[in-house]
Amino acid sequence: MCGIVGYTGHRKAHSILLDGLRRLEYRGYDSCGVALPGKKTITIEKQLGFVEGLKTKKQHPGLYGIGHTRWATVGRPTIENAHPFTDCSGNIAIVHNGDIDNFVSIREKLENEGHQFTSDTDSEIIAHLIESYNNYSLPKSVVMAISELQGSYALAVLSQHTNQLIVARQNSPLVIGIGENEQFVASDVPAIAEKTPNVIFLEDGDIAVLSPEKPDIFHNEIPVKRSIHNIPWVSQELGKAGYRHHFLKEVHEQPRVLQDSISGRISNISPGVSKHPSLISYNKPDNIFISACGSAYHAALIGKQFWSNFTSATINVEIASEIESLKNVSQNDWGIFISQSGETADTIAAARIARNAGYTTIGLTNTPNSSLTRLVEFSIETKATPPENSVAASKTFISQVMELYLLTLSCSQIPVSQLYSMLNELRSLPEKAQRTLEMNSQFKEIGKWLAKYDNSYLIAKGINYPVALEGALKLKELAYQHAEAFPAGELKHGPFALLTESTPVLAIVPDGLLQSRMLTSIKEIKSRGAPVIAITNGDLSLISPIVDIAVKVPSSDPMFMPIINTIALQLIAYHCADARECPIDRPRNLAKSVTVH
Amino acid sequence: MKNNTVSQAIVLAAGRGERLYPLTTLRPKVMLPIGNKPILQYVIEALVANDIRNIVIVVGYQQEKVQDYFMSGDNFGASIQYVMQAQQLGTANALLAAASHLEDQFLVVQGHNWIAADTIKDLLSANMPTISVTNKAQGHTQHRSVNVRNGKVLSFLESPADPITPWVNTGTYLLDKSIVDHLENELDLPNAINKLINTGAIINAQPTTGIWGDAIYPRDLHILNGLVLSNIDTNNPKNLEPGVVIKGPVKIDKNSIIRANSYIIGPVVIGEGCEIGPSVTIFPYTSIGNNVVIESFTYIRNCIIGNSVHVSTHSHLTDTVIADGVTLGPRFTAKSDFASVINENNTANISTGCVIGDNVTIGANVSIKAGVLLGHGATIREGKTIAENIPELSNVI
Repeated sequence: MCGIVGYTGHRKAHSILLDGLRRLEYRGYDSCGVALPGKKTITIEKQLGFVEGLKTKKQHPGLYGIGHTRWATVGRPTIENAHPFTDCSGNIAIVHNGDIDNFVSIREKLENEGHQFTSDTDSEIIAHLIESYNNYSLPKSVVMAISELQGSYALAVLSQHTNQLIVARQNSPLVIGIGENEQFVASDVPAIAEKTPNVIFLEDGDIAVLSPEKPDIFHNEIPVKRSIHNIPWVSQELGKAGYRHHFLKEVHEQPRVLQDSISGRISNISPGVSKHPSLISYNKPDNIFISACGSAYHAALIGKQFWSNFTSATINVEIASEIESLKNVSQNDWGIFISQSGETADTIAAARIARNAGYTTIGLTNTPNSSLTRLVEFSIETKATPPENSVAASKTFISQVMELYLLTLSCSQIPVSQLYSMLNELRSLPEKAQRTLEMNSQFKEIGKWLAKYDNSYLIAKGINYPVALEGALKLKELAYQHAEAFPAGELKHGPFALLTESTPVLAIVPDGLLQSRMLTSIKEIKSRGAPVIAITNGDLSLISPIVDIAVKVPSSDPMFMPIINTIALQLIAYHCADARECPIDRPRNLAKSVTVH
Repeated sequence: MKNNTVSQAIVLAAGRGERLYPLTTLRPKVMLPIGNKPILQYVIEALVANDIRNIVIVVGYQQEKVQDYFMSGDNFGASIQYVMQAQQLGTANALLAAASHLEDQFLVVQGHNWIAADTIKDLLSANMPTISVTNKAQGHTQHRSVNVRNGKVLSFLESPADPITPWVNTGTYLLDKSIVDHLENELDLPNAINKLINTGAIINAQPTTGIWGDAIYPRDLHILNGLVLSNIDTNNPKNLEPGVVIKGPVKIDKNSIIRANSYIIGPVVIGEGCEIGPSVTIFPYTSIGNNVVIESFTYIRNCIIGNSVHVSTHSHLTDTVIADGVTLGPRFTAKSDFASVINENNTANISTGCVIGDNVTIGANVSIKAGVLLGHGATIREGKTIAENIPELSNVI
């Protein structure tokens, strides 16, 4: 369950719905479908996979309809479980994004009343629940139905008998687009931004009745006004700029992202990093708590190492979905929530819990006007524009790490002597990232070699350990390779048993204090016969003799090496995936923004 | 037949530009910066100004540098596609690489030639097919002569200096698809056009007086930089500390700050996120890229400075080109002087500074003599005087 769209107006709805769905495919692409008014009952078209396939069918003449692109959570990705769903009569159809927690009990009740279900999903019950109130008006029956639902939903309801759409929102994003004698609704702005710049972001608990002329919005059944935002359309049809995949293009955008992140933040004369403009009036925190999922969580772990090194305030990092409750704190405690899309349901839930616990909440997203931005008190926009298209994160991860570096430095009391060299290193990062990209042919060789194996391990220490985690995630997402990251010292406490001649190990070997300990770990691995690849900025004459392949990347401050090492691993994972002929931009079973718990 | 229906341009951008070493080690010739923009950007802007937005760029050497900068063209008002020329075998071969993308009529332009919108406008007003020519008197001695009679091309000649014609080829063409049949087995586009003429086709010659310039040697970059900077407008820079003096057109991009008592005489352009000064002097025809630090008491005149460059205190830079990611130690001197530089098959004695490749690191108290080229990634330790070219990635201790 992922993206929903709806239209009512004077144009043929079919192509408008499909166009909207195509722009929402980043939210999932297991299946898709549309519902439009039919001759006697509602017509449903659905299919497995991408929206492209629906286009070939004959265009339906209806002037209103709803659509859905699905990322399977409850119920397998089958045609039966694809949205839209109708009630028993075929007069009402719904599309839903979210999770209904109490669907089992509602379904039992409805089945006892004689309703027939065709799918395993939680969503289908909503259509039948609305039907069970069919002695009321349509808007009223929707109100009655959703009052029984527990969980999250963005919902659009279509009726055979009226061109009014009913939409509702609870903990899942939903925007209305206001046109001239036509109204749009969608899970996210890109689906409608080309059609109209005027959008309304619904609040939790809102229900809206969309007629072609206007939307009527209600909260607790009382009419309310919601402000209209003007969002200029920026092309979402970003090409691949001559690259074969969005992922590779976005990897190549990283030097620019780094440059944009530091631009205007660093000064050598009054040495330091200036505060982010949105935090300018804020004191330094007593404690920091960061929460995120996936790649953003790895960025948070790098931020944690950096923060602990340069400030006295304590820092905690948690996976967002693991947060059930938080102890009450003072507002001198910051809660930082990182999500590329700003729509990650788990991260938003964690931010809500933190806000209620008294944290000063800060959102770090690449999407202004996202649900997260609107929930938190302060918002930091990462500089990974234009939006990331590849499902696997690259430039957004780098931009998150960079913002955490800058945040730390703007809160720290580093002695000026040390600060100068850090600032110079920070300034040179865009250039060094560029030099790393130029090593592509070496990473390609490693990626192709790695592609022969089904399992791989990554080891690192300190601030590079989260980089190994991120590298392993890229290998899983892009190359479908079972890859695991371990702190180098942990390997011999168990994972050692897995090492054979067919389990390559990628080791991140930074120059400096940790190098000798990494070399010790590598020697232990080599003695078990596993092939080892070293990514290092250290002395090749020491490292090359004991590993199978060593590649020397540009050198920076040890604390900034994660940027360079990440780029190396991104390119290795990319070429590994390419050699394994994986669909790099749209990995199976994944969605770009995970809007369900 | 007028050609206001032309909406496509093929931009040839595959070449390396070896005579521009060491600046072209990590970038193709078209990406050399002039007034803080790559030469190719001026070409794209000139096309877009004439509403030519469907652009196919033929890339080759270091193609990622072109793609990463221009992406899909959204930021430039164009829709850009990329075609790969596997080997740099000349302009005919480059156009052949784009054959499957060609519309019925199209422009062909050279990505490494700085070109004014008017030059393209002149060409678009001519009858199809046409080549754009300019008078040799404008000093373009490196380009093939074109024998023209009654506004028609008789042939391209081999020698640039051929006295029988005052016209040289600007490398800008308005063509139709019939040329494709003559591209096979040819290296240069003029040869292919000669063959087309031999089949009886009529090719018009459109004289242009629009500004048009080519960079062949590093010193040409200073000429083009001067040309571009002469036409900039000041953007009334705001981020200035007390005592900063600004005269003439000076353009400073966002997030850059000029510290107290600096003295800047335009035309000068300064990119994003730079920190200049206090007490730095910058004189005309200087371009400074993004993310550059220039420390106090440094003097700069007629220089092209790339991105992420750090110039330390008490340095002197004149007539010098610095690529990206260069770090210069305190009291660095690259002073302009007369020096002998390569010019086609012989040498010329000209006034010049030095050329510093990407990611060069230089210690304190280093002097570089005029005309010296420092290869990319070279490291020079403190106190050295460098009088001859330094190979890339070398370490001078």
